[in-house]
Amino acid sequence: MIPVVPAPSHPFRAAYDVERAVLSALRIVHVGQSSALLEAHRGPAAGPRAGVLVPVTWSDRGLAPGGFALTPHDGLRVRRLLLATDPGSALLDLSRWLDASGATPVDLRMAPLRIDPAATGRLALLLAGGEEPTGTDPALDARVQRALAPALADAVVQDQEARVHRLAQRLIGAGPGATPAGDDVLLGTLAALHAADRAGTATDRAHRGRAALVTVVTDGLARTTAASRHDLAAALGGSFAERAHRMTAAITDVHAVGPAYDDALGWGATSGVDFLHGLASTAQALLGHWQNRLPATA
Amino acid sequence: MSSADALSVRVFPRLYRDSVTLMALAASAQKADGVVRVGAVMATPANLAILAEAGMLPEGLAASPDDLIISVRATDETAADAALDVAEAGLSAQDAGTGERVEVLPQTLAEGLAVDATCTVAAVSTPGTYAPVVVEQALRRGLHVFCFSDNVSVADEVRLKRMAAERNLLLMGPDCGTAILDGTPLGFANAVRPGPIAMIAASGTGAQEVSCLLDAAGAGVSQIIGVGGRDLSEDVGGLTTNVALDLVLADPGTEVVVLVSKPASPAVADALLARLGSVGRPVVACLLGLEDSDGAVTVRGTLEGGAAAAASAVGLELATTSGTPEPPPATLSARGVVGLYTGGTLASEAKVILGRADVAAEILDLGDDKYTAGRPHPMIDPSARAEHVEAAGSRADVGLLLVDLVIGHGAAADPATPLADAVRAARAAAERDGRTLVVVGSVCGTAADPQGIDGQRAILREAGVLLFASNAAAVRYAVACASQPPGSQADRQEELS
Repeated sequence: MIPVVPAPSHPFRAAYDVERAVLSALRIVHVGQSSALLEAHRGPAAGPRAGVLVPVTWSDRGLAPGGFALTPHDGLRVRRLLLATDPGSALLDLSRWLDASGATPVDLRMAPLRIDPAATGRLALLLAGGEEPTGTDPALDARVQRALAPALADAVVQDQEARVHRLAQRLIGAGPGATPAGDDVLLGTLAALHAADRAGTATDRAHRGRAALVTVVTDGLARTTAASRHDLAAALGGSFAERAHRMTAAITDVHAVGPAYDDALGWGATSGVDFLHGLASTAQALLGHWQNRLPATA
Repeated sequence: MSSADALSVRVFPRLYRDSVTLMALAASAQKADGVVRVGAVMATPANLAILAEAGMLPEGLAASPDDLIISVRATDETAADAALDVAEAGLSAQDAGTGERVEVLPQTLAEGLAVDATCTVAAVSTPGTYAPVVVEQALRRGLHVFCFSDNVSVADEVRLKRMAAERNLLLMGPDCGTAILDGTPLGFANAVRPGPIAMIAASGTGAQEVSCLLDAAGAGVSQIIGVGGRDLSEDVGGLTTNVALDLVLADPGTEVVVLVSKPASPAVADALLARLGSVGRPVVACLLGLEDSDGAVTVRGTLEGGAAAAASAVGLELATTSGTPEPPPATLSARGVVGLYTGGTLASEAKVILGRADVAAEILDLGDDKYTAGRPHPMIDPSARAEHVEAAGSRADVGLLLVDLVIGHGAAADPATPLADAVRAARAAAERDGRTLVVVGSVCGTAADPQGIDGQRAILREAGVLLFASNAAAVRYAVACASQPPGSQADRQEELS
């Protein structure tokens, strides 16, 4: 039985969302302070999983789709191991982690969630108050991508296919960061749409609009970075990182808004806040659509 | 293209760096001379279009989404290339760690809290550029912050202190040198005895001097909360001082409150004194340079005065000697008085006392940023001050040299020896010129400090330093020497013989 991600989940335990076969031949892409990015071997004998990314995380990062989350202690140990390994030539077989670590498999699919107007309103206010420049140059300013989030959400909820295509294409791969800000906005948008869709609260229009968004993002995956492509591909399938789950709670519970915003500030340079903009805009659009619909259905 | 007419671009194929690193790289490159704009983004088609639209992309440049592209527009090609070198060096520094770094300590706040979730204070000692980010993260996690980092902007300080105050958290600093929280020393601090006196200090060595004088008198401290040297400025408005006051007033172990600061903004000082006057327990405001006064708040203009008032509030008196009888005023072979200090507040106190006596003097705070650029604080590395001391010996206009020696946690293991060596060299240089250099000072510390005050004093005495129980006493002695009519003591000696 694979447990569905609790929200909020306990961040400090070993967990995984990866197939054993992927772990058998990995090369190091990057080793950071609280995560490492590994990639399935691309060599001549590589199988169909060649190039698949495996995010290994520890501390409060939580599990990422297709990844492995370690306890803080193991994380530091593994980090040292990775730093001492030649990233250019070494291939790592980490498949035994699944047996030795006591890790549990986790289903990272977004759960059905009921969007709360008060929580969504407070989140939107919080985001509006924190809009300061994110970079020293306009090219590095994530506000450009965040500003597109309400229009995209509106277009999706109203099933304006051409507008969805145009806006999503402006977001894919756009903006600062290793996962460009526009992609993080899209992740937040998809998270809200999945939550509403699974809860059965999305309208038929919104359902069709989401399908249009899925199509354009799927077609545009090659236009962004590998790390972002990995996250977006998982999101298209309905799976999100644990911290995305924690942040999505901000549109369902007014008490979760503050912690989610604090959590977002610690996610990359701008990624967490970018995600929240997509999430909040879409939640507002969905709520607005329901409210507009009420007189007609009463 | 106006004055900015050089565009340089470097592409780093399949290079992954997290977004915080990319932002930091761009920010560091942006600060280079002559730089107008910097773009550091992943080379996705959308980002290439953004760069092209901004005139930051040369025509025909090929790159793929997993490549990192750094583009610099600058006033000339040299400036653009230099900025790119800075950015590339930042990327290389990231790589330099691979293969050799062995780190066993937690690397992030989250990891630290995972090791011990009961932690309540984060000590931040990163370069100033990064400190605001780390401080904000710590505050958002509900931690008090001791920020040793300097070079943090006033705007960031105000923003973060407001955030801290809203959460009833202390942001000690930036540029905070001293704290003792529930007996745990942070930064530069002395091994002082526990007791009922809480100190809130906008000056690090000021707090050390007062706490050490109290310790020598038999009085102890409950808390020492550093607030950063700018906290009582008009811009910051005493944000942390007020939070600290709330906390010490709620501390059952605190009976007396002492505020220590270099000259504060008059408006902020007035507001603070008004609040201090109504806290319902003895309060001493040791505000350097103010006139002494007694009222609801006991105001003292020197550190020694503040320590004496605080000791009195708990029924004790300050020690008056440093272990040997004080000498009579010496005859100075030159009128010049020079102070070479490692403690900034001790230097300020010297200026106050000398100023009140109308004695002209050259007092240097060698811990000031302008003397420490690129090297450690002289309390950590005494060699910088030693050079100044030696040089003073060759100055014909200098008859008396004032020095301090600050020991305790965080200070050099044996700061007395390099100072003593420098004093010997200076006095020898003066003697070769037929002059006598009088060297006067005090040691800020306690017997329980790692260096031990008695041993440090002995080393200085052996080198001929006249030592006093406090910095103020040493300065008063300097005043007495400088105020003597030239040759008067020699005349008296001749009369006696």
